[in-house]
Amino acid sequence: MTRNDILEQLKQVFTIAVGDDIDVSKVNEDASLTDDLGLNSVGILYVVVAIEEQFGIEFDELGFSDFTTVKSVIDYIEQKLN
Amino acid sequence: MNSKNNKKTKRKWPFLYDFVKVTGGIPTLILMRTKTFYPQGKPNLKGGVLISANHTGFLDPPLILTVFWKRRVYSLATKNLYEKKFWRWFFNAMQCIETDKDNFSMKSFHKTVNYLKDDKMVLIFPEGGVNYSEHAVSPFKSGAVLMAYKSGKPILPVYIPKVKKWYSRRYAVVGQPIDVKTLCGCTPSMEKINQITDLIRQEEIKLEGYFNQQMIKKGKKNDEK
Repeated sequence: MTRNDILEQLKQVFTIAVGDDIDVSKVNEDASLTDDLGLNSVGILYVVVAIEEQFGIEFDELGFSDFTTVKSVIDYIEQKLN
Repeated sequence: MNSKNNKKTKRKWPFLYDFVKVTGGIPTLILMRTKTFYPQGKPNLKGGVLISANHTGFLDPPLILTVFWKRRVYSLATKNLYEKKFWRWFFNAMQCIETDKDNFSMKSFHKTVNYLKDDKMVLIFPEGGVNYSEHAVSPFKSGAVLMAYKSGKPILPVYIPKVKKWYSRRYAVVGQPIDVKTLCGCTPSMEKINQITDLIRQEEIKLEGYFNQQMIKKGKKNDEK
């Protein structure tokens, strides 16, 4: 699975998480989870749970502050998938 | 990895938990003289249950222990409580789940979910801390609903009335379990999760209303509870 594939799947998750408030289609790897996507701590938890279901992976002992940008999430998923 | 952990937690007998419960629990029962109300009847609680209660003070976890005396109740405890060595040892021995409110970790989340899947009772205060405001039940954070959704276990709303003095008689009002997984459906949106969170808060507000009615019937004023 390429980074682009992961990003596209992540966009689906973000769409459900943030609703119609933000145009997720324009989100790129540099987007901030809190500032650009407007996710709070519970929002990030929701995204993590959704990612776990979508990708069949489990997030380990990481804290939410470890994920600041979409890039950091993709890096983690890529590492887990490999 | 998970199933290995699950087996481990199932096999291990929490000796210290039971020791503290018996030695400390009896004085607590006498001190608190807990009276529990069940407005919709006593719920049949088997298996994993996530107890969602409002947080009035540090005596809430032992109060909940007295309400569900026949079962072990495991609490989520904030990281600050683990700062001193003795308390770190104590909370670990009591198998509490350490959480960091400022940087919530997936370790705490998975540990809670695994406890629930292991058919344990877990206590969470979804207000995120002690509520010092005049409002009995502050807005909830949605983490509890996500934990219940992920584990497939119900949430049990419990209302704890505030007391003026630590030695006052304690009360608890227990509602009916809410099946979060059924309410959520397959892929719940964040909006849906927030709606269910609000539903649980509304249930606790209803329990508060029931309690106030009972106190009025008994002729007790709110601050004399």
